[in-house]
Amino acid sequence: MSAQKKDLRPGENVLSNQLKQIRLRLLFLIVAFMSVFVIIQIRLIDIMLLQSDRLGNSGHIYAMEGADRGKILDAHGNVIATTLVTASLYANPKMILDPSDAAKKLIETFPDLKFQTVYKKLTADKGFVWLKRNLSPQDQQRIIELGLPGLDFQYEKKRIYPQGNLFSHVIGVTDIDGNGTAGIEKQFDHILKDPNQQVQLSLSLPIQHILHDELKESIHKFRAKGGSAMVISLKTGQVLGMVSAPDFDPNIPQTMDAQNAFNRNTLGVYELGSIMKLLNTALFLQHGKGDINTIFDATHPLKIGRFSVKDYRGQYRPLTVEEIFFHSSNIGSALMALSIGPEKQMAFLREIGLFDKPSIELPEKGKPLVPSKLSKASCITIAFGHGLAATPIQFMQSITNLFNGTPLPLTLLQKSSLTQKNDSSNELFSTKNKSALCHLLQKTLEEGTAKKAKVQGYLIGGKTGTAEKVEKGRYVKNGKNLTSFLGVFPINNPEYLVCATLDEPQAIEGTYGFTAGGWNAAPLGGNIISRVAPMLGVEPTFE
Amino acid sequence: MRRLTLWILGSSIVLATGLFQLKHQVVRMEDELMRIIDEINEEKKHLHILEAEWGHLSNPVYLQKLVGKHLPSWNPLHPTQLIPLKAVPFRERPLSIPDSLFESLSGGTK
Repeated sequence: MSAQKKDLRPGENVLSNQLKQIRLRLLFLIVAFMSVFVIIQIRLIDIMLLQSDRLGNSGHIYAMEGADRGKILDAHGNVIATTLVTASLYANPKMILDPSDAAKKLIETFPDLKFQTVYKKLTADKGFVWLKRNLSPQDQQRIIELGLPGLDFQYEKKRIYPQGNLFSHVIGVTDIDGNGTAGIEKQFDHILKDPNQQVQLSLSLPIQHILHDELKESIHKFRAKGGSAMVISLKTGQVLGMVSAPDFDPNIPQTMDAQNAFNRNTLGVYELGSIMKLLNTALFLQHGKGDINTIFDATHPLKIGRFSVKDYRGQYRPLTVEEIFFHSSNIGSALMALSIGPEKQMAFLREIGLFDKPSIELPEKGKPLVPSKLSKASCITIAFGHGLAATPIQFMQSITNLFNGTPLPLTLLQKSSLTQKNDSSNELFSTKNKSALCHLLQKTLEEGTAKKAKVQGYLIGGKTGTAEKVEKGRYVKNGKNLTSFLGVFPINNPEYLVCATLDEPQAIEGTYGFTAGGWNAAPLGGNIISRVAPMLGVEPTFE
Repeated sequence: MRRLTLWILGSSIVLATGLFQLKHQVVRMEDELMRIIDEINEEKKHLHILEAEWGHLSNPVYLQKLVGKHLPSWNPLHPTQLIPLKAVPFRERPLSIPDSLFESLSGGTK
């Protein structure tokens, strides 16, 4: 028994060793399996719960392929710039079976193509010839229905501006690679590069059309070189319409030359003449040196060195501030400015934002030309609108600030204006002085130089300006004027600002040889207001 | 020990089958997603074209030309043609309602 036990012991030992080994292997397998499953489970949890957002986004990104540039909309959501994938037709002449028949069928589809040209292309010893670029979907379908072998399409992305010339200067253009090179396209290139984004402008398509239509009509009527027109909301600072002429069609880049691409509203730096008298009167009233009944002696021309300041339509008598504004007296305006002094004059103009960088969201912005030295002479000339030049948008910015009482940056965007509203308690211009200014503007429009801008049923205030143009550093005396009109309506509660300018308008039948702003820019402004005011919901009043 | 082995074997078969099913479901859903995305892209292209076409058709310059051609007597609205809403008088009673019906209503007056 003991011998048997002795024999078994080594066997038992072997067995238990083998069992241990099996257990060890099993344990190893279990651990291996378990760790593999744990890894799988962790991965599943990771995919299902933690990375669900990433997967969702990847689909989203994929979904946006196709369009490569965001849209630009007007205030009402009308598309003014969009990108389309268009088909362009090309041929592989080596695969064309009957070039004569194919050319015949093609010119039947596209009457603007010529048989000889198409036939020549289809018989060329090449593997690729363009036949027609950027087809409409209907034209593409017609080509497919022809079933001609050897014809095929290449798809290209094209920026489309459905409103043609109406927004040309504001919207700008893109280059062949889809990068914005001018206007809003350039200013918001970083946003528009994302096809999911869009830019909505404060400009309104119907207002833009009215401005375009009326400006074109006036330029034609007065044989002017060009002009500009703007409508601005005084309550929000939004530009509702901005047109400059001559213009171009952004769909046809060939029509865009240096002259046509020039935005007179934001890039053209001009002396606006008597419109400046509005700011000059504001300066006088704000400094409390008197009111609209204060008298200045405008009997004799004012001498500065070897020059003398005269009135266009001289009254040769002492005039009240009201009369100075109404008769647009240069002598009276100069005396008003001198009573304040050049330093305070410049400080006031700076305060109301005439020298600030325009806030408008366009890359094309002109800097104001300000006299390098302050003097009595600069003070006098600035008073009646010479010796200081700024862009029309900059003038409108300072007038908006005046009427608003606090700085209100002008904007071309639909949404930003609300966030830009400045609640500064530092009042630029008092309500009492604003009322006085409104009274002067209304009187000038109803009985003075701007009376051709009168619109039956609307209470409007206005001022015209006529500035001699500067050529080679000298004022041109041969009637080459830049005329302007500034209108505010309704004048009993100013809400909108209209600015219109005409470059070198000519005397025509009915203007009696005159080319001043009252004869051309004022009627243009009146026509604009009569069409725009009902659209803006301004109720007419008939007394 | 044997129970544990069976449990591991069973659960691994179940997990493997589940994983296989899941993978196929994901592949199917990815295909479906791609198809839907393609459809969306196609529809977007159509929408872009339609928007551009609508832009061309509603271009005021084009509309004005059409009005000049087909409605030559039409002119832009003049402010004298407008009156405030408050100035529009209310009709005493709608003309479409016969007198008899109006009288039959309680409190109705002629």
